[in-house]
Amino acid sequence: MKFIHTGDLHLDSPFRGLANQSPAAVYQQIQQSTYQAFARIVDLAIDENVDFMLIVGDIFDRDHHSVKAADFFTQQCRRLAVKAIPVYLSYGNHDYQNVADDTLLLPENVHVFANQVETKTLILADQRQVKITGFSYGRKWIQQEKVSEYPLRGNADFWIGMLHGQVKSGHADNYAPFTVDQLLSRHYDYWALGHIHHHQQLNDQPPIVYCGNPQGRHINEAGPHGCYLVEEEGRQLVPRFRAVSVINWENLDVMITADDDQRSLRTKVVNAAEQLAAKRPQRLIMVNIRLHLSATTDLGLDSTDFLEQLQAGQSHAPNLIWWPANCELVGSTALPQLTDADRQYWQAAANQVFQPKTLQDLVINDKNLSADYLRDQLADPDFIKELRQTATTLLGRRQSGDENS
Amino acid sequence: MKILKIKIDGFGKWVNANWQINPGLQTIYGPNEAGKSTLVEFILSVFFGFANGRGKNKFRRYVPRDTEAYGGALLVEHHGQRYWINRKKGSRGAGKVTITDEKGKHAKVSLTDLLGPLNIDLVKNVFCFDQSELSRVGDLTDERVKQSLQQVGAVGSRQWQDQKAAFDDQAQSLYGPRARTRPLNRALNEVDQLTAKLNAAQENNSRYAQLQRELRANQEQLAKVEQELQRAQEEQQQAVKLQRLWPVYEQWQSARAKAHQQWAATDEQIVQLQKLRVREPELQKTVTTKQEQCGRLQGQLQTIDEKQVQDYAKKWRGSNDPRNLLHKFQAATLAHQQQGRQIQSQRDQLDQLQQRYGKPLPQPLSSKEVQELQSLQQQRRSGHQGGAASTTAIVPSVGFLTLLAGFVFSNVVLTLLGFVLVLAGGYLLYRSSEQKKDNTLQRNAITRFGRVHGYANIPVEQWLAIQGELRHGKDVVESIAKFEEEERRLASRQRDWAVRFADVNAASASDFWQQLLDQLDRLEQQYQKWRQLQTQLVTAEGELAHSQEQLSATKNTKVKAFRQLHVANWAEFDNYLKTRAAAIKTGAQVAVTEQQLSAQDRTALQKLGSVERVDQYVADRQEEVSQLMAKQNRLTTDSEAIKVQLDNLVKDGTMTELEQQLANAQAKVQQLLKQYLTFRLTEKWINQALECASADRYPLILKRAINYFRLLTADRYSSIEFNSSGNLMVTSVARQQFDVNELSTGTAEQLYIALRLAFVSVMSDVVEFPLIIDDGFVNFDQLRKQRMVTLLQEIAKDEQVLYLTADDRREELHNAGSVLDLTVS
Repeated sequence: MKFIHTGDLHLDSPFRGLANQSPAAVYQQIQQSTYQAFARIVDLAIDENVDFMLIVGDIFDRDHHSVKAADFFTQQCRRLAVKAIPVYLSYGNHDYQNVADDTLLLPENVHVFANQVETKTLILADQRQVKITGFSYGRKWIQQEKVSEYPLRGNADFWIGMLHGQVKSGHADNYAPFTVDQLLSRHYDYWALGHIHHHQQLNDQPPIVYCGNPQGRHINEAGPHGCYLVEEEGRQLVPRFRAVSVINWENLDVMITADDDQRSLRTKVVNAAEQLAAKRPQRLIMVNIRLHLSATTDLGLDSTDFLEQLQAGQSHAPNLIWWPANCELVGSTALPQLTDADRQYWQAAANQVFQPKTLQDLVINDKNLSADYLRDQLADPDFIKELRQTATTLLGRRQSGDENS
Repeated sequence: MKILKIKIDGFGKWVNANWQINPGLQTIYGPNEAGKSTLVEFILSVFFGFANGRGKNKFRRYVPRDTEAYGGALLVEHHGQRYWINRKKGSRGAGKVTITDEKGKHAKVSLTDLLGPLNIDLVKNVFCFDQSELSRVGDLTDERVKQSLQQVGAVGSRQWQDQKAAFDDQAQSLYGPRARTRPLNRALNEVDQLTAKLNAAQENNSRYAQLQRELRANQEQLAKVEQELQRAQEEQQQAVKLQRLWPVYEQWQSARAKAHQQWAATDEQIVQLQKLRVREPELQKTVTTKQEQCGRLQGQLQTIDEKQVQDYAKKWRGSNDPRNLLHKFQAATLAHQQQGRQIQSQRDQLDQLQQRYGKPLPQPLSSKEVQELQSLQQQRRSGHQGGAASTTAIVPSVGFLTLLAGFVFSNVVLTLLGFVLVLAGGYLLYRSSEQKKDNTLQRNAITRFGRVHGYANIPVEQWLAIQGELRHGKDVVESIAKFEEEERRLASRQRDWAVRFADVNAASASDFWQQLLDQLDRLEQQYQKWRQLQTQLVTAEGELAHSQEQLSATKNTKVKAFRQLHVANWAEFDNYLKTRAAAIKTGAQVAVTEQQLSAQDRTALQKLGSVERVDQYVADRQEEVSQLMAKQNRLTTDSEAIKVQLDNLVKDGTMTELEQQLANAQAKVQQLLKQYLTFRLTEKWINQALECASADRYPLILKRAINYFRLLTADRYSSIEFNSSGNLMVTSVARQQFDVNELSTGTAEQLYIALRLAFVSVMSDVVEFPLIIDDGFVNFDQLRKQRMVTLLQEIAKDEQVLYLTADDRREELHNAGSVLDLTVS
């Protein structure tokens, strides 16, 4: 028995965090990437002649996907239909759907799970029986635990659970929270999880696996992405990760040394990026450059400017294998010496100022800044840390700049 | 820490220069370009190192052009100890420092020991005080003045406030809540526009779903229409075929109409009828024959004497083989007649015996009687002979028996014989008894024996001898009796029969039986003949009836068939056959047309009925087909159109494009917002840091500042304090309170100087460094300058003050302390 476990396709979803226009070549690849990644999974399914495919939610964004995405998904399912490979599909929080009213005209081989937990039965070519239990999101958030609604493993050759959700954390458990122990208590042979975009295995045997999304779409989804090809070995199901992503996001850490100036630093970055890209051939690498500052190595860098310079340099590269997607300064220069005598006051002030409340106060009455994506940004606990770091760098830099005036 | 001597080997314009410095207030005079700033820079460089040579700092190294020597030394006093701090060009840009005691001996202290936490920034911001800082107060807005005054308590507060303002400017240049063209506003606007476009594009999804549904419905309809069309086309073809077949049909129909009339009879019927035609006369003939036969038989029957038949029937029929019986009777009669002759001779023999031995003839003795007699005779021989006794006893016994037999057999002869014998016996018995009476006992016994057996008249001696004859006689008697019995029986039988057959007049019994036999033969013959005729007649009549029935049935069938064929007789039938033969020929034509016309076609054409209706039917079918084709075309076109639309929707990258653009625009907004917030927060941070430091230090600062302020304002104000709202207030001697905003620029400057110097004084408790005032009061009027100098003198009691000035009114300051005139080398 052999199957593919994928999910979180997020077809047609844009790449985030690209403040600057990318050249057409990059842009096209980006637009095709989520499609190509899924097409490669379908290729894999056909090449490996799998018995079935599991798609654990979030095919695309319910409210933000193009017709092309819906059409593409249907086409790919048809490809599987031609090869008589059934698809078991449950909708997730991004494509939540009243399954009874599903407008997507999917081919016959696609079996969509209802909004209530249900078990579907598949008879393999060798007449063995596979039971698959799952459900589709009917709304955006599901706070209640769903695992208890999954039946205990019954009589079948294989029993697989499909669950789009998140490990219970104690707060903001909006996505069918569960614990690994709860999953184990069902005695299934495999748990196909979705929702978390980093592929990972929460348990070895029986495997409890997040397949991750097939294509990373921003730097928080760095590294290879793909799906799991799960094969029967002895009495166990063994998942193996297969990378399919067309574009990889990678972090590139570059230390700024005392000898660097901006030009040499650019060269350093480009060389490092090329080395990085060479390690992952056949893929475009979206590089997030992290320039590590230290107290003594501030080149007066403006990350935005520096990025634009890098992009200008890359945009005409004949063979574009990497693209500087983002640049950030990591670490910070020391506060100016001026603050030494008042250090305690500066620290105290920073502790008071760099608080979420300060941010809220700044934007609370500003309708312009009330959009969700900005609220998310502001709510990110790392954001305030970043701001403090940048502010510190800025202060240090200002001080030294002022010396000249 | 105080500077006592300055010794410059080479630094900027200064080469081999030496100065004594007053540990209190030291005025350093020099016009512009006289080297005041260089001197200050030298002092700072000795303490904190030469400026490095990179970038803009290149010009701040003050490397002398005229000499190799770079650097110099300062004699300082620190906690009562004097040290030479010597800084020369070294391997590093900052130079090489050596610290010695006054006599040039290496001192065991480091710069850090001497300077503590001091750094050049701190010194510049806390201990250096220049014109620009003062003049700034006058340039500031009320609010900034207030802030400047309230935040004096932090190191570098002036600079920080400038930076704060700069960050505010930068933040504002990025974004204003009501602005339009600033970068973040523009980016937000773009996000809004793209979102709107995207929402519009999102409509495509519902459009897509709608189109998909339409397409599906359309294709279902199309499939239906195509199915209908196929049927309609088949019907149309059929209709056209029917149209083409119509003439054939007409031809077929008319031929068939003709054929149909003549064809009332099938071939079988004709064959049947032809058979009838032969059979009918045959049957007629049979009937006639049978009728004749019947007549003849009836005639023959009439010749038979019915009485005889009846007699036979009455007398003989039913008897069990009467002929045999009659023959038996005849034979019995003949046998009896023959026996009659033998009986006659026997009668003669009997007569002779009777004559001899009496009538009736004594009975022979039984063997017992013989033994009895023999025993009696035995006795007689010895005495008596007593044989007769037995005879005497036998005779009546025989007679009795014979009598009995005669009765039994109703035989008269026997009866008579018996009677005689009985009588004879009686007599014998009488004689015997007579003999007995006469003879002795033994002789009596024989006598009695003779009497008993009828032998009385016969000599006893013969008794045994005659036994043979007696026995024969007895047999004869019996035979005669038997014969007579037979005689009677035969006669009785004949009488019985004669009663039944009175007409027989026979001469003898045998003749009687012969006549009866003859009569039987005769009657039987008649009867047999009658019966034969009777049977023949019944058979003939049966056959006749059967033939008549057949004939009648045949006639009926014929009549029916004729009626069916509308013919009255065979002649007409012959005509019919002729016509029929012609019709069959036509029928062949029909068959030919029929091959062209299927049963279905015929039914369909029959239903349609007329050529007009066939044409109409064809037209209707064509109409239907063309309508369906039009419908099919329309649906196909619609389908294609929907597919094109769908295809366009699918191919339409707008949405994807917009999504990415939106994501990018959002990223841009986030980037700018981050910048904006960084500026804003940095600004807040600075503000907060200044507030924190100031809030901590102000109690001490105010304590010292009020003295300075009173000195500077000639006691016009009596206190500086924060009110409950945290605002800095000054109180005049007239006990009038002023918010710092309300002070004149000059007074605000004086307040700032008082606070600033108080801050230096407070800071000096932590870090000690000479206060360096560069041309600070150039705009002050004489009076205020004087007060300022007085204040400096006051401060100089505790801290060394280096007062750099280009003001040539220095003389007036001379009394305030030593003056170093840089113009005099």
